[in-house]
This record gives sequence, structure tokens and C-alpha cells, in this order.
Amino acid sequence: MRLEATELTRAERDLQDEVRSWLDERLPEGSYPLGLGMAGAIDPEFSRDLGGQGWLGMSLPTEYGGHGRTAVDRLVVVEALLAKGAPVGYHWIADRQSGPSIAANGTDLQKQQILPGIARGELSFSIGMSEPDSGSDLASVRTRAEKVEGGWLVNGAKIWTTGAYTATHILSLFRTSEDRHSGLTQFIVDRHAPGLTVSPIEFIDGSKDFCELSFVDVFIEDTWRLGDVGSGWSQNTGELALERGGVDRWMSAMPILERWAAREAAGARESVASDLGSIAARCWAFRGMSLSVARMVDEGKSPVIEAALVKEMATRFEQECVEIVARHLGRPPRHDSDDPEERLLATAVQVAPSWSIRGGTNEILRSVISKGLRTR
Amino acid sequence: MSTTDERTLAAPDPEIVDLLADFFAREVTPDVVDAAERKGALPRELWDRAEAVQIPWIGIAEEHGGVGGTSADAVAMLRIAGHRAAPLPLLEHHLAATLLGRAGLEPVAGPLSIAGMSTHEPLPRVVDGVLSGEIPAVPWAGEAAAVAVLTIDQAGRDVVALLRREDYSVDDATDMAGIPVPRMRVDSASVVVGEVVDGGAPLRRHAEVMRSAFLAGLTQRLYEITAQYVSERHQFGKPVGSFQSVQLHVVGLAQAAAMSTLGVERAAGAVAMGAGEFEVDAMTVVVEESAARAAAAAHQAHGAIGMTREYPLQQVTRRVHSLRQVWSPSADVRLRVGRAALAAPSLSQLVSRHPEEGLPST
Repeated sequence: MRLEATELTRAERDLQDEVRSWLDERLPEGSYPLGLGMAGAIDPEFSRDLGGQGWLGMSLPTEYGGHGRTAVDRLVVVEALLAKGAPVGYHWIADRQSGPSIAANGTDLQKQQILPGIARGELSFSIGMSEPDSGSDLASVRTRAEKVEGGWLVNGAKIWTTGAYTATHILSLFRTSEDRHSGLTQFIVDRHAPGLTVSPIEFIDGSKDFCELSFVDVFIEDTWRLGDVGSGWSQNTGELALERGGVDRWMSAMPILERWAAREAAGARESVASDLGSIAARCWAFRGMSLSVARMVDEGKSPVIEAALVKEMATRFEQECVEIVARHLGRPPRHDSDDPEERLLATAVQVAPSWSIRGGTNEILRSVISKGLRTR
Repeated sequence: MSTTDERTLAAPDPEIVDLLADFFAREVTPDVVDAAERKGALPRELWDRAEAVQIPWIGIAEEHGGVGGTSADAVAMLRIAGHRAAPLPLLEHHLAATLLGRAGLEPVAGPLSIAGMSTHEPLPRVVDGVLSGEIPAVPWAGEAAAVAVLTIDQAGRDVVALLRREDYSVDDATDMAGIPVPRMRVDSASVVVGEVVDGGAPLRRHAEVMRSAFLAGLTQRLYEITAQYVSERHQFGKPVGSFQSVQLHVVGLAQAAAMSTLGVERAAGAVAMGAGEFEVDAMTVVVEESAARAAAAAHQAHGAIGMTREYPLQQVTRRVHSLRQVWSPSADVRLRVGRAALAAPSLSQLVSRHPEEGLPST
């Protein structure tokens, strides 16, 4: 376990300036619904504009419409987006994990057909993993893909699939044989495939990005199988692991923190300054950890344990941030307030528990970390 | 400047790191720490052996009596010394030698100690080259060859005054870790005085980095001792580390150690760039909180045995508590970080800017 100290290069700082200036112009305050980190609003037009800047699919190979940039470059862009609470919902999953996963495991045809659309911000992905009886125990997935002439026939259900309703594709994990781990295979599924029904599940705050997916004899051409039959588990693990150490794991509450700090700037009580100090110090520390993990990825290392270690503590931190701001408000935040900041806080109070659940619960992460530390 | 140089903060010399790891693992065993504590005095032979391989002079420029090296080397020295809970005035000596160098004073043979780091206790001033008064809690002052005092003169300039051993008397106070921290009494001593180049603030930042390096080393040790113990201790027929509720402590310890170690290195890098006003305070808050949580988690994971003097955990946790807030209340530091965040146009930009860019304000 070793995170090396690193800072941004001159070129990376130039990118930071460029992204911030563009965002200030593209997203004037009040012109967009404030989002909480990766749960930012779904706005395909914004995603296309961002893609037009070359800031989506940054690490994807240039021959497939990507930009051949680094994980640190992507961190710089994402950090600027999340600080503003930008509407990142449409492209988030495709940019963060489906694109890189397809680049790593896909066929030439899959890369040609999918990656340019991800980099342009035109395609939206959702992750079909959890099932009614498979949450943390992902290897117990039961939705089956049966081999048929020219492809696969899928039957079963997926649940708690964020963004599936508005997605163009769903990267799904299906059972292709009875072997617990090696019987799982990934597929790129067209969201509008006949036989696939997507129904929103109302989320705790009344939003409807959470979905339930029903597969009834959904035919998938073998062309859209991602990676070898039976390699779904290891591909899936790799995909999850490297995305855990990012800035999105501690920045969900940043738009709230920014506005809270700005509002309190003049004449803040000592208790506010003290709490903000505790928050700012930890933001600085987590930022250093995320940057260090991104550098390791760029150096070809695989900081799986480091990333899990960061996520487990960072998500608890962002929850604590919401609690602290709420404590200083002095009354229950109202979701029907005229004040957009208060509405955002009301949402955060309700949805914050999801932050340490999505992408691997903290309980699962702790056992991943424990095992990893023991074998190092 | 090449891209690699630019993004990578100075790393310590690997040969020096090896030498340090080897020296402290061999020479500073829990028995050595215990014996030093029971005697309540500096283990002079251990100091001499450290000095024979020039450990106390790592990171001090040659013209100031040191062996050269970067501040990253000094950070490594104190981190590794902390990792073994070394009962030596390495932090104090390093800071005193650094201070003398910055004030352009002649090098002095060690061991040296330091006074004036505390931000909340008034210090006697130097008036016309004479220092008089009392200075509380100066580590190892009774056995140091000299004490460098960071104070001000009658004109209010930041100066260092060098007190030789014959210039002061001491009482016999000790801190929680069994380290002598006597009150010094100085009666009209004529002192060598030098003005501190760039003032006292950069030196205080440097000092916080070095103190935090020792704390980060202690925190790393807490993780290692605990991970080892829970894999060996069996209850209910299996290692206690196989219980998830115990794993929670081990994970927390690994997180505390990783966060502290990285924070210290980044803050050291910022100071080395001539900056670090925000970074050092932020780092101090994080390292102190992490060390305190780590000490609590380590004790909880150990159960009763960790509370005994015969088991070495307490050597580490007592040092955590004696080194926390030793110069300024962490509540004050947290407040300062908060004020910086309130003054900055944006919190996210404050924490994501390059240290060279200085402290933004509205």
C-alpha cells in the first residue's frame, strides 16, 4: 500500500483552466438543475457539447474516436464538472466505465460501432448487474443467456439499474453456464431490443433514474457479446476496481459545500469555520489520494486495493459533509423550497445513504481491502 | 523542466531510506524504548550510534553542519524514526539545526533541542543580546548541548537565540511518552542571535511537516502492529482478524496511515516549492485526526493486552498523544483552514490548485 505524492503538470493545469472557463460559459448559474456528483441531471445536449470539446472518452484510443489522453486528464475534467454539479447523467457511466471496458475487452467491430458515439456524448450506458436476488453477491446472478443460432436468448430480470430508462445501451452480466464465476458473460444490449421492458423504480427523493429491467426472449447477436464466454466476472471486477478511487467518490456534496462556504463567507460563526476547516482539510487529502491513484493507472499499475480503500472512506466523508451542512441550517431542509441550494440539500439528506452502497457497498469493500492487505 | 520532474514531488533517496529502515529496525526495539523511558533520560549510546551514521544531520545543508539531502530525506528520516517510536531528539535536533542555518549562525554539535514552536505560549524576547525568563516544556533540554529558541527581539524581528547548556537550568518534567520536557529557566544569558531569513512562518511550516512525518510513522506502525496481532490472536477457534467487526479497525488503520503518509509528502513538496500555507494546515488537521483515530482503533482491536506495558502498542499510542497538538491546538489549525476556505472564491478550486499558485482569496 503506497500512494505516491504527485501534483498537476503545467499542461494539466492549462487543461484545468480551459475546462473551468468553458463550463462557466456553458453552464451559467441558474441555467441548469444542480446535481449531486455522478447523479447529475440527464442532458444529452450538454453531453454532446462536452464531447465536442474532446472531454468525453478521453482515454479511449484515437482510432476509435477517443483522445488518447490520461486518467489524470480525465480527473481534471471530471473534477471541474462535479464542482459545478453539472448535468453529467447522460454520459457518466459510458465515459467512466463502459467505454474503457469496451476498449479493453471489445472486438474491433464493437469498438468501431460504440466508442466514437461515447466520445461524442451521443451514447448513454447503464450497467445491468444487480438482480432481485443478487446484490452484493454478484456471482449469484441468474438471468440467463441461452446459446441459440447466431446469438443468445436472454430471460430474467435486472433491478436497481441507474439510468436505464434514458440509456441507449445496457452493459449486462448474464449467466451462460452453471459455474459460479466462470459461468458469467458480459453483453452490450440495445436498450430498445424487442422483449426488453424498462420500468422506472421511484427513488427515495421521488426521482426516477432507478430502473427494473425485464428480459423476455430478448435476442442478442453474438457480435454483441463482450469478451469471451465465461470471462464476465473478471472483466466486471476489473471494471469496478479501477473506478473506485476517483474524485466522484468524495465530491457528491461539493455543489452544496461550495454554496454553503460562499454564503457564510462574510461573518461566519466560529463553529461554521471550524466545521468547514475539517471538511476542506479532508477534501485536500482525498484529492491527493484520487490524483495519486489516477497517476498509478497512467503508469500501468493496478491500484485495486488503493482505490477500494479510498472509496470506503471517501463516501463516508461525503455523507458526513451533508450532515454537517444540514446541522448548520437549523431547520429541516425543504424539497419544495424556493432556494435551489436548500432543495439540493433536501435531496442530499435523502439520497446520501446510496453513496456508500453504489459501486460496491462499504461492507464488501472492507472485505476486499482486508483480503488485499493480507496478501500483499 | 520535464513532465516527470514537474509532477513528481521530490522523493527521498532510496539508499538513505534503506539505511534508515535498517538502522531503526535493528537499534530501536521495544526493549530499547522501554529502557530509555524507565531511565527518563536520553539513551546517549543510541544517539551516538545514530550520529556515527549521520542520521541526525540528514536534510541539513553541509555548510550548516549537516550531510546535505532534501527535505524529502528528512521527512523519511522522521517518518521511519516515528515508525519505531525512537526515543531520540531527532525532530528537535533537525529543527534546531535548520533554524541555526536559516539564521546564518555557526553549526553547533548536537544533540540540539528547540523552543519557540508553540504558538500559544508567550516566549521571553531577546533584548540587546540578552535573554531572560522561563520557557516551558522543552524536550530533552537537560541533555541537549544547546537549545535554539525561535523568538523575537526588541524590534519585533523573528530571531533565533542560541542557549548553551550552561545558560539555563531545568526541572524534571516528563511527557506522556516518558520524554523529559523540562521547564527552562534562563537568567540574563548573553546569547548568540541571528535574524531568521524569510521570518518564522516558513520555518513553522517546515516544523509542522517534520512533526507530522513522525506522527505518520507512528500511525503506520499502529496499522502494522494491529494487522499482525489480529492475524495471530485466536478466539472462537479462528484469528480475530477474520471477524468483520475487527477487520473494520484494520481497514481504518490502513486508511489513516495511507492518508497521513501521502499528506505529509504533499505538504513537504509544497513547502519545498516555497509555498504550503494552506497545505501544511490542511495536512496537520488530517494527520492529527488520523493518528488519534488510529490509536483508538489499534487499542480496540487489541483488547486487554494492548493496555499493558509489556506489550509495545502503548509505546506508540502514548507517543501519538504526546506529539499531537504539541505546538498549537488542532482546533486553531482547523479554524485557520476554515477561514482560508471561506476566503477562497471556491472550495473545490482551493483544494485542487497547484501549491505554486498560492492562496487564492476573493
